[in-house]
Amino acid sequence: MNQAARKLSLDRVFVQDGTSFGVVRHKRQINLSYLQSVDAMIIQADTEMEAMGVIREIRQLAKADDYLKPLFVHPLLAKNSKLVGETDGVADPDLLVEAAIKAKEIYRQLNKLPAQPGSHQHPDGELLGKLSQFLFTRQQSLEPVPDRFAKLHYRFPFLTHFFEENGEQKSLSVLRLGEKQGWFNKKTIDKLHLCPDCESAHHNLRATCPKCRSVDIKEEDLVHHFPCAHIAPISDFERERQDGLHCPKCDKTLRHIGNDYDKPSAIFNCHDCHHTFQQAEYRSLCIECHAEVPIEKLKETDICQYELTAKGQAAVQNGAQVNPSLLALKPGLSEPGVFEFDVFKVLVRQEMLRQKGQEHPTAMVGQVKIDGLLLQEYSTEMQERLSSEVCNIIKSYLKPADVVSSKGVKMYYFMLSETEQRAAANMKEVLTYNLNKLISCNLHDKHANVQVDMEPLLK
Amino acid sequence: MFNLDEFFGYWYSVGIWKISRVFWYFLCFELVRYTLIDTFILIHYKLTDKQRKRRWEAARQALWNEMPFVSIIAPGKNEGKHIYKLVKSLNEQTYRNVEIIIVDDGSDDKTPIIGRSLEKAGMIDLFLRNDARGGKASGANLALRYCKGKYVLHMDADCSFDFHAVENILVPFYLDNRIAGVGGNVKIREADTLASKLQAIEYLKSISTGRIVTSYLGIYRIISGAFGAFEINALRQVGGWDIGPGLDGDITVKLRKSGHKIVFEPKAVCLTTGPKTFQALWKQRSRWSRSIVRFRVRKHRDVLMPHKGFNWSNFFSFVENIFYSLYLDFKWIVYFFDVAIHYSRFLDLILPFNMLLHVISGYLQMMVIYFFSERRKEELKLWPYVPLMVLYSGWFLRACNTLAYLREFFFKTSYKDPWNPLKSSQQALKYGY
Repeated sequence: MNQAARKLSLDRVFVQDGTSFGVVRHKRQINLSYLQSVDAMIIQADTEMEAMGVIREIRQLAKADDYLKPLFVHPLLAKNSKLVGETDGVADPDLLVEAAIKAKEIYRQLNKLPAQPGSHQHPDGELLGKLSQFLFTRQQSLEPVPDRFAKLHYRFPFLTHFFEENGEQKSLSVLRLGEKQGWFNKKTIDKLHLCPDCESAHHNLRATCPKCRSVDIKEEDLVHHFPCAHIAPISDFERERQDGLHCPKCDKTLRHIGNDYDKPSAIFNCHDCHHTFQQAEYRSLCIECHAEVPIEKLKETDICQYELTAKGQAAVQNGAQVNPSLLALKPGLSEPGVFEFDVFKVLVRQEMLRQKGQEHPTAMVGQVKIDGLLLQEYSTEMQERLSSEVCNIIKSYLKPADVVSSKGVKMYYFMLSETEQRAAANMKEVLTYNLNKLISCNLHDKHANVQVDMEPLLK
Repeated sequence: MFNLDEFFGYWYSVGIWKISRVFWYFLCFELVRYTLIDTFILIHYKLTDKQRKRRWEAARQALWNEMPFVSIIAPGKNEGKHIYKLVKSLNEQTYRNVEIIIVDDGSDDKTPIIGRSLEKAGMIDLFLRNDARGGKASGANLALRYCKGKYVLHMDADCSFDFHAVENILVPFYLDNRIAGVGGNVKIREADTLASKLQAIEYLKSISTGRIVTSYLGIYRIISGAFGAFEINALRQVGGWDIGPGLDGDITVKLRKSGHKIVFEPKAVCLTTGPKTFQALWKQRSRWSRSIVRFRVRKHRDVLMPHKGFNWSNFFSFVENIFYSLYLDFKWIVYFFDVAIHYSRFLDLILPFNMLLHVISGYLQMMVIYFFSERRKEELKLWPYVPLMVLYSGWFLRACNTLAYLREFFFKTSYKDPWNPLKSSQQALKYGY
């Protein structure tokens, strides 16, 4: 048993067949020296959230030996399938035989990894590398786990921990990249329909009025009275305080469906705009971002189970890098110099730290917001082109050290590292004019309007 | 060998009384009704044109001042291919304060897809579909239920219109507030087959000018289903359309019986596609003829009886229709036997002379039509076919109509016509509609 482990541990350390198991209850207990001093960890948290916090903390570590560390859950948490799915299984501190075997298997695979794995330039490439290593060391496939709290309704073990809360949808681009790279084989297990704006699978599907989009609509059967050819909504055939149906045209009582009358179709009435229609428009209201789109505009996405291919296994063992040409996948991000929003936030934080030490801080941050743009009116291709054009226009006013990021088609952020306020004000004016011109000349959306805001980074 | 000198010499020598005896049917009925009376009335109509134009202009101005909302309805089955053209034709109209309602009566082709697409694109205001076919009347009634206009224009989806047609069919409502229905002037669009050409001539005679005459005399009895306008309250008051075939004639009678005035508007021109073959034409005309027996003789026979709501113009309208369409059809058989029995030796002279009289009469009518028509040049192309009308009207249509009348009288075949779904026809028969 490692002496450091004994010394630094806030909890006990167990040893089985030469494999040491540390126990951790909370993420604040995680100490890198402690973690590195044991071969595996048993999580014995009080709540699922705390346990997940521990797993997340460990998986986000920088070194492969750390983030690939075998993790087990205490039998007290064994009933939580979500936690079991996120770890290498259940380990009872009093009976660690099976866990020790499992940990040894993981280490056997871990030892096959190159001592200096190749570094990936792109965040997605980086994550793909880590995920491939994880699957390689566990010799298992990546199975999506249903989760009602997840934005996608599914979580991908290991991968989810690299994204902010409810950021599961970002896993998809990593997985697609692995597939394009030829490292993964996939098997579709479900299909999801995602919000085109925020990629959430949480939405409410409703029948709406095609004219005013109100949900206050009522459907009625149409009744056709054969003898007199009268046809009208069923309410026309109903009389107050009388049972049955009575024809308002010939005053006869309708007796037998199929014999003297039938219901050939139905009709909707909108209580808001009084429009009459037979085909309601089915629209989806996103619970996350409140975007409302026709259901045909929802993004159909496959949820798959992934396993490493022979090529993937070889790439992990050789430390191969992701083909850079496959990294330009997202709208607005295909342009060099346009960063993922999470990365942009890190860069902003770093710049803030840098500027704090300066006598006259000159960095500015800006936001470009396209208001009133009805995304559902445009194809994905069109949205990509628009996003790319906006990024290009913003970039044309930036210096090489400045950075741009996009968060969807409607929102862009940029950081000017060395710009005077007066120059920034001029730039804001020109940028607003040019972006509005881009929108008005190319889109038929009359209500779309571009707003540019800028302020000093250290305000 | 036929000798013209001998032929004309013979008829010249027998004198007018003998000619009258032999051709009494033509002289008493056909010449008087369709050539002389029509020509006389049309001449009078032309002479009073100025006065009518002044009234028309005032009514047209009143229409534009009020600018009423108008509902255009087109019920039908498998008419998807025509809807776009119909909408385009309506978009060209001078009068555009309209809503367009298309009813798909259980189509089994791509009509629902086309209709829904046009509705979504805003080219039509309402597309209604009945998954189960209910017949043309139920389709029209469904549209009527959702009409928002003051006037309802009923039309067939395969029609197209002169650009003033909608405006022109609405003007008569402002000539006289008792008018509740206006019939449009339906003409054949593409006279490319012999059957179409002969129908085109027939339509010119019986609709374009024939209806000017009946309307002038106040006995106009059928607002064509292809293009007709109605005042919505009057239409709802009579309960909309009843089961056909012949529902356009039936609705006209219902309106007339409820005291409304019905007129024909020759300037509201609509083009339609008639049957292209004689076989299809035979079916269509059989259906029309059966409806005369079903509606005029059976359903609305009270028009001919003295009763509380008795009206002379309705009475004459019916008498004229029954006499010329039905009675004379059978009377012609009597005439045929009369000639065959009494003048059997002279049939080789009688038949050509009979044809000659009809041809002369036909050309006289065409000349009158020529003066009234707005499509003179196109219609001149039909003139060479006028002699064939003797065979068309005299034999083809007469045989078709007579057979249809007999079958309807004795077997009520209109209730078995697949034009209507059986479920509706059976119920209509049960209740005597």
